[in-house]
Amino acid sequence: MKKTIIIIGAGIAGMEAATFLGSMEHNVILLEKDQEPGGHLKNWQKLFPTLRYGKEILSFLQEGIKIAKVDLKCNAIINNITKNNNTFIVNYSHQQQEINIEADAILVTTGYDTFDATKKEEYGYGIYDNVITSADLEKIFTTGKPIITAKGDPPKKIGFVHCVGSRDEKVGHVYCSKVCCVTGVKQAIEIKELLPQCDVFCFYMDMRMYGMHFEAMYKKAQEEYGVTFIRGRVSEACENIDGSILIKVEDTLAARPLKMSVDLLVLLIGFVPSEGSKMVGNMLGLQTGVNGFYKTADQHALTNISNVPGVFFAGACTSPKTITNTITDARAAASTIARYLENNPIFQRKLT
Amino acid sequence: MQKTYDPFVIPFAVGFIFILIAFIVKLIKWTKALSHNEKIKIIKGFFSINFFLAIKEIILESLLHRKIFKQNTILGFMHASIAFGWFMLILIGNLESRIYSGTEINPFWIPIFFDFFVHDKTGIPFYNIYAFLMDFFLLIVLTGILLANLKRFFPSLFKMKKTTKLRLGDKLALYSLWLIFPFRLFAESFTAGINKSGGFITGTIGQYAASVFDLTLPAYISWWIYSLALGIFFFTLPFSRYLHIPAEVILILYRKFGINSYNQLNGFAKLEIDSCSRCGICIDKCQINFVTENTEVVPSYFLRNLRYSYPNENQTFSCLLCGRCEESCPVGININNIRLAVRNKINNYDNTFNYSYLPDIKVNKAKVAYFAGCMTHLTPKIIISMQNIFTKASIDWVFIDKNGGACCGRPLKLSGNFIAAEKLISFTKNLIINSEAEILVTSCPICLKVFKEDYNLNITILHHSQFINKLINENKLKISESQKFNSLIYHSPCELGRGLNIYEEPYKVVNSIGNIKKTSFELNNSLCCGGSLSNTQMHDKQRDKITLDVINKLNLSDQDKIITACPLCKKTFSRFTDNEVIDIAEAVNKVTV
Amino acid sequence: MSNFFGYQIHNDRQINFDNNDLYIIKYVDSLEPTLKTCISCGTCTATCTATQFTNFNLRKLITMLRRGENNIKEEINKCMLCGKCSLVCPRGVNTRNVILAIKKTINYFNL
Repeated sequence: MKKTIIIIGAGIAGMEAATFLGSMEHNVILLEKDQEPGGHLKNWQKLFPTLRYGKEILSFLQEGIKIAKVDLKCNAIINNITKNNNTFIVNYSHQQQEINIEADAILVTTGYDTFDATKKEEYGYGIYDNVITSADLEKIFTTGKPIITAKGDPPKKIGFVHCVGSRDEKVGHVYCSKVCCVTGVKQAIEIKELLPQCDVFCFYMDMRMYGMHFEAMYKKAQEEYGVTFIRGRVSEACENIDGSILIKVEDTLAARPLKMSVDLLVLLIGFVPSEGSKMVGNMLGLQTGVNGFYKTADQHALTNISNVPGVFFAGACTSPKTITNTITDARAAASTIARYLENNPIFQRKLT
Repeated sequence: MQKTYDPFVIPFAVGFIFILIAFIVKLIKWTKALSHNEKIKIIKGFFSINFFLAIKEIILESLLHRKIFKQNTILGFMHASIAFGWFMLILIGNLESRIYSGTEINPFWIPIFFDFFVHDKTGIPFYNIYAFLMDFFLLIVLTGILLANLKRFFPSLFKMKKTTKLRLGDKLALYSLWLIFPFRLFAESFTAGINKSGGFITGTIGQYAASVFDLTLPAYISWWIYSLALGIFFFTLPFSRYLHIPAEVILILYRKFGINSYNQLNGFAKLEIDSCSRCGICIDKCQINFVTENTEVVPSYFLRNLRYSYPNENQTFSCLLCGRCEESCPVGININNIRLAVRNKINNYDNTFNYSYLPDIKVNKAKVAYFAGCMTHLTPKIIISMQNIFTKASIDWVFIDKNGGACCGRPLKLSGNFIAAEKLISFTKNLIINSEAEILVTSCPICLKVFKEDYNLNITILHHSQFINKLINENKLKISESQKFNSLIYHSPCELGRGLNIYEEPYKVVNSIGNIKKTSFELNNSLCCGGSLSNTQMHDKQRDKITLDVINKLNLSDQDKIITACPLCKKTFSRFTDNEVIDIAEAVNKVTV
Repeated sequence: MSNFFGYQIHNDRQINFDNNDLYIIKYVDSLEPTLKTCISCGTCTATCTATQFTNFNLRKLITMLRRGENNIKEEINKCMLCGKCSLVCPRGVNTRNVILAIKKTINYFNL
């Protein structure tokens, strides 16, 4: 039987879940606050570990929602969601109109925000011109502009700082954001391809290369590109007179403090729960876990189910995820929602 | 022949002699432990104007408890009514009996038990007025006793969440104190009933009671209990919290004469410890108490342990040294100094720290020396702002810890390692002297405090907010009206505000660059951010609780910015609030051209 | 290498973990439990005020203690107790109290 499902957030998870639910002949309305769908994927040029172009995945996802006849509404702002017995009334503003839709299920795919690096004042983001984040660097990659220091010269040395805003009690985010280490290695390789004469250094606490081909990429970075990996967490950065950045770190494996000047310092920022998640969470009464991401009904087997019957999750709004895992999660959510809507007995399984 | 003795006076008499001796012994103990110079100061003090100033303070604080009134009227009235009321009873009672006796020298207990021994007072001029006054002040004291009773069982009526938990010795003293005046009332009333005399209270009660039953025995029993209560009170006084009654008087005198404890457990410190009345006003002020529920840190219990035995590690080291207790102490005890002195003593005057590795550092000469401080290097925005401000105002300055110098030494002092602190102090002091600067500016209030108190420098030492204030006054910095801030909440750092009494200049600067939004925690009532280096034992989790509590209490709305004058406060707050936390230097840099 | 009737005995440069006694770190852990969460990232050493002037290395000192290499008495006295290490530690270890705990431990065992 045809049901109406509203999906909040047209990022990777939202789009793929919409495609699969649409392909099951349900009426899917996909709401997105930005002008275009795609979420953060729009900002990544090449994806790890294969360095294929992100826009290939974006096209793939967009084709999906077209084939599945998903009703995509961009520039839509959600005002209110009320529960009405077994359905939800979602009130949103779109193209100067206020619209009410009754939905049989809601899928929340509000994704993540990146960590605001100004909170780590000692790294100098927002203070020194030659300190940028991995997101800033990726943006430069997408525009195709040359990589230059603030003065306009090509950098001779670039440093990457791992775990900025993650695994850090001092900024209140103690979890690992999962994707930053491999992003660091990816970007290091990309820098070396663009600027072969530039020396690249990665300052890490651990190298989290858990995925298939991640370790190979790490080895390639050392072998083919000569990226130097130094185990030590950068404590602070300051600016030299010429604008280059002086970092203080301990080379723990050599057991000696190390100082180094780099022309550009790239901060590998982590994921934090998004503002959108907080807003929707308040509207629907969704529980969050100790790290601020949504709490799922079970960490192993019910990761798409929330504490509110009829409201489901997919993607990074429940925890940091790779793009691969997000797409898988989205399809899983679609399947779960479909079983829920037909009152299928497998949906009645419980876990303590 | 006038009867001047009855067995019931014995408890009082013995107690009184005991307390006189005890007081003299204590006085000798407190004074003997002082240094020679301090003893000279005391002798000189008695012949100076400070003596009269001290008398004034004794009247205002020991009797009228003005400081407590300022905090809480009914609490102030409770303490003042007992102290002042009893004082007046003694004064007027002695006056009355002196006038009655004329040139005869009477035993010392006569004024106390005057009504028992003298039945017909009509011979005393103005006897009606005496009767009225004695009854009036007895009523005042009784009201105070009633309030004290209420406070013990219903502290919330006095806006106190907690009051001091008493031990056996204090309880004995307290209960005997509570018995004194009701039984004085009974004794005087019943005697008035027998003799058909008395004032507007004692006379009335006496009259009524006489009509109901025979008062001879009840009156005599009441006099016995009155005397016993006094005797027990006097015996327990030197060993209980009530030692504060004489101790506080001596403390005020010595303090006015210029004696201080200077971070040692010397005679003056012992006097301060004996002056703590365990009134409990400090308990509700202590954030370690009301946020982390660690009550034994509060001065009432810390000083008690220090007096009778030894304070434990938790009490000594879990203190933020924020000074909120000191501010509220009606006796004005220098609690922070004592706590530091105990820390130093517990560490056994440790001399193991070794800084011989510190090199000779050359430093340029300039008029103004700027010392950023260790913590400030982790908040580089402050350093950059100060660099800009120095440039904008065309100051001839040198950055003496530009590449990170040694620590100023106060963190060592705060952990109770005074000897080690001295070593670091001499290193940084050399740097400052070598710069030949006339003004030393620092961004960190912790450094500022040690510079002012322990470095013995003869130059002007300023916090950067004070220096900025000076620059604004001298028109060296121009403030752009359009850039001013909208809603600023000024958080006064503990070491700057309560620690050094520097409130006016930072407030002036903040006022001139934006609108201040007032909170309930201004000036010396400000809260500690929790980031203090003085507490070595608290875990991050508990420290976080304190910070979160402060942020809660500041009632921030979305557009408020917290402005502070300490890099440690800045770092501590930024962890827990999305509102912007800026330092005064950053803010001034933004709005000046 | 010591000569023993013609046989050469190599002194181990390795940490002989079987033989090392962890009593010092155990006592320090009991005084300051947050130390157990240290991951030796080295941020403390990187920011340390004393490290600029001398080869005092807090991370190395703690790591060595955890392996049972206990000759730290001279090194620990170089700390200025400034507190920067505590302010940057990502695991929230109260490093300042760790230093004080180590000094207490040294006194306790009369090293």
